Amino acid sequence: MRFLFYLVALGISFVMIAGCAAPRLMSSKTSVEFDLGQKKLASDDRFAIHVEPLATGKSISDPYVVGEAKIGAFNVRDPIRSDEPLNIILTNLLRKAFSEAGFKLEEKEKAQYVLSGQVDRFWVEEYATGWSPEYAKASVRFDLIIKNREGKFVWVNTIEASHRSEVSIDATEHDIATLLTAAKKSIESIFKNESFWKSIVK
Amino acid sequence: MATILVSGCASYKPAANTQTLYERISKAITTELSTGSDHIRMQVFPILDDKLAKTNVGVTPSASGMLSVFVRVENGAENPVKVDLANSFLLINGEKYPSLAAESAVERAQRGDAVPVAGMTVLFGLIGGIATGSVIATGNRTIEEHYQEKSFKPTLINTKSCGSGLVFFEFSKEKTGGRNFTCTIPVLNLATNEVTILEVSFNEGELRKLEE
Repeated sequence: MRFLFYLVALGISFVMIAGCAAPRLMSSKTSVEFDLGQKKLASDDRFAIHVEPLATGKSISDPYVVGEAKIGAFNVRDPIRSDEPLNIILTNLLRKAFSEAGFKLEEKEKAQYVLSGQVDRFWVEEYATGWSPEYAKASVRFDLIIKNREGKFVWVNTIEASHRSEVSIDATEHDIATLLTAAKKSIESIFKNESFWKSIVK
Repeated sequence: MATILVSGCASYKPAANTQTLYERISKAITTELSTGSDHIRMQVFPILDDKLAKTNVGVTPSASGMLSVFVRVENGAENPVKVDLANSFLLINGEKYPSLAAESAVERAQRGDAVPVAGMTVLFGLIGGIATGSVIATGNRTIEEHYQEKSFKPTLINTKSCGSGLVFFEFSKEKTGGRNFTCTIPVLNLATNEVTILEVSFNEGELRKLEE
């Protein structure tokens, strides 16, 4: 009888803890569809741009950690890791977006513009108290510098966006999607900025 | 039970008028605190007054251990600049108080006296969210949303442009009058990598008198 009790207790503990692990951001499975609005470069007006890997700011202590999940019934905090450094993930998203906006991705020597920058925030966490429905919240912030081939500054800006998931019983399943949505919104904001297009297409 | 439910929530009802934060703060703090160097001009509006702080940033400096300063930087130089908020600090009677990232400021505000204001609103918003299956919709905004929107930006400032917003600093919770403050913000010229240190000094007692 006592054995059965321990077995049941163990089973309950297992259900409460097991199967609950922080999600992992897998860059190979990262799929972001950008909505870049109406403004795109025409096919005969394709500027060549070189996108350098973004650097990471002092505020990022581990580029492989992109957030914190709260897992299980007890909301145990668990870091959300990525298989690639977050600055590389964001750089690749930028390359995809610039390509979709009609820019030609080129090597530095052949490019008319060179993009560089620094990531200061790429983070998702959960509002989860255990007493109310939960949600995931993410924010992305990075500095962007675009220079021409002579090294003259063309456009600089601090790019920033945040996103919050819908409320649910367990927000953990929304963590990665919420982070990627914040990243997507931040990148889309570049192409929706009039001053960006005015600086590029003179 | 209700206490448990609302604890940890922090939302905040911003001042209900159409003025910008800059307009409200600059109207309330009439003392001109500005400095300039190399075609870069900085104005600061320290929100020391409890009432002004409560209305505009949701928490008082003494309760949160954090001082919010509205900063405006105009770049009149030939090159873009980077406002180095991470290395900015306050000197209070010679003691150094570093700046806080907006995310840390949110945590301090949540631990401060912002909670009782509208924690209930978040709770009701959550219940509404369950009922409708939609995102949380409250009449109020969370401290987090407010701070993210109102924090200083952009930190990279193009030539002939300006950046503005709240910069948060650690702050002593002790309420004493007459302290001498120096607000120090480094600005990096992106073309030359030269750093310009912008400093504004003021006395708490004199500032409070003018606010009243």
